[in-house]
Amino acid sequence: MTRHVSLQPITAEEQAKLGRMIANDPAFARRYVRDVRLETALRSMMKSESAQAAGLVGAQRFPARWAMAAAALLVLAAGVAVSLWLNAPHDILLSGELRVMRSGETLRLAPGERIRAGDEAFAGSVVSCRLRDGSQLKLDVGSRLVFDKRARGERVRLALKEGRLFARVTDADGRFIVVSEHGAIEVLGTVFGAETVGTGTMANVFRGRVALRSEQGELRIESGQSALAAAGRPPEPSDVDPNIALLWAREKTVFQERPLGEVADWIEANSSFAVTLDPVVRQERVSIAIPEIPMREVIDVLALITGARVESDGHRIALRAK
Amino acid sequence: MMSDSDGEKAFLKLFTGARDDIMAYLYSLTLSHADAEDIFQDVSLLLWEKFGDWRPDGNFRAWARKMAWNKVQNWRRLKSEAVWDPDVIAALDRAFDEEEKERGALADVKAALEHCLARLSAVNRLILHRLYGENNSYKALARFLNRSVRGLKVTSHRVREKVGECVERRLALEKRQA
Repeated sequence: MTRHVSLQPITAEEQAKLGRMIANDPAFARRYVRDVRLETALRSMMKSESAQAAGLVGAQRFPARWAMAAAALLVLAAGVAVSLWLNAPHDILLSGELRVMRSGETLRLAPGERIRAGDEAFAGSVVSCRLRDGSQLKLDVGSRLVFDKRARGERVRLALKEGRLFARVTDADGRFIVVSEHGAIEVLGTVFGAETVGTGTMANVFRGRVALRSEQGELRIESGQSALAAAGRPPEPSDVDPNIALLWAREKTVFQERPLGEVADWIEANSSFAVTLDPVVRQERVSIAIPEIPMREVIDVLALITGARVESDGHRIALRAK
Repeated sequence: MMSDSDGEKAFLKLFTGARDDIMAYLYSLTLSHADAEDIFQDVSLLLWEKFGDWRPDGNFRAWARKMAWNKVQNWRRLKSEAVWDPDVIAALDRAFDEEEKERGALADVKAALEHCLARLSAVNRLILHRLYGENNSYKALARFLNRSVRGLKVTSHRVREKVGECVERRLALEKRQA
């Protein structure tokens, strides 16, 4: 039962055994149904988060008319809410799913809603916010961040508990602070990222510089560098590749259980590649979230998923059945 | 007698509330999320076509399950696959009835689930998100998290169990408070 309801396929023999147990043991049948219901609820919620996190392609499961009407309403509602709040000196959620713990209650914020000082936020998807000073903030799915109360003279103070963030800071003057249990990042300008890793907090600087402070000392990190604040060792700078470090923050295109032919058509429309597929490979169903990485890498991933062989001749690429 | 517009509104209200319950039933019969989602499209249309046959004092979800079972039978014939025997179906129907009676519709379970998911650590939440929301394979996710596939399977199983226990506690609490 556990394997059936936890994403792992079961054999025909196991299925037959499962059927016998359901038919002969009412208590077992109840547990099975309880698990199936939980599984369905879990998938439904997680898929809804994924759909919000990225533009969902090819997986619309309801009439287009309803989808368009719902989308128009959402856009209208979000637009009105955002325009009302955009110029106010508040931290505002712009997009994505953000839950906040406020006064012991968990609230789910809608786009355009205000985030308050002291809110502990949890990102259920990639989330975009506009901060009170006009800075832009992105949080990765699963990140936990406290919008801390500011000390005197500080513009923004964020406490990163888990996960990662990316910020484009306006008028950086050292009063934009990100703290974690491993140290503090003082932003001197202007585009940077921070993420918790197993043993510390990593600061990545993409433009300008930041000061990274930990118990082990302070280090100024320049554009194109990163450094780890961790207990027991002083931070040291190393190079950071923004194309890799910021993959998570870019928009993705998601295909869910779609024929590979459909994905190949999309690749052709969005790259200079001409993609040829063997008929047997064309019908293979795949699920893939495509970030803005070189399309050739996407094709390699698709080959890995489907077990196909890649043949390349300049800009023409073929996926062949092995 | 309801007008067309009233009928449409009534159907949409009932259908929206029962959507996940129908999906759960289809999944329990097909053992495949992809197949359950495909059949769901046909079931939705069938429910709309036959909505006039449904008695307003009846149990919509139980009625929808019967319709869904008809579609699953067609699907079995098309795929030449045997899924469950009739005695298994009868046992499943009883179990679904009892679960819904005791724990409510899946909409209630989802509310409890939302509460429990908000209490998970970021990493555990990420694991569920990638596995269930983005259909990542264990292999791909293990590579992403720099963990072994086996270790990831154990972790995801434990997280799921933890979430299940939390939902049970939450539902029991809500029932006591009601």
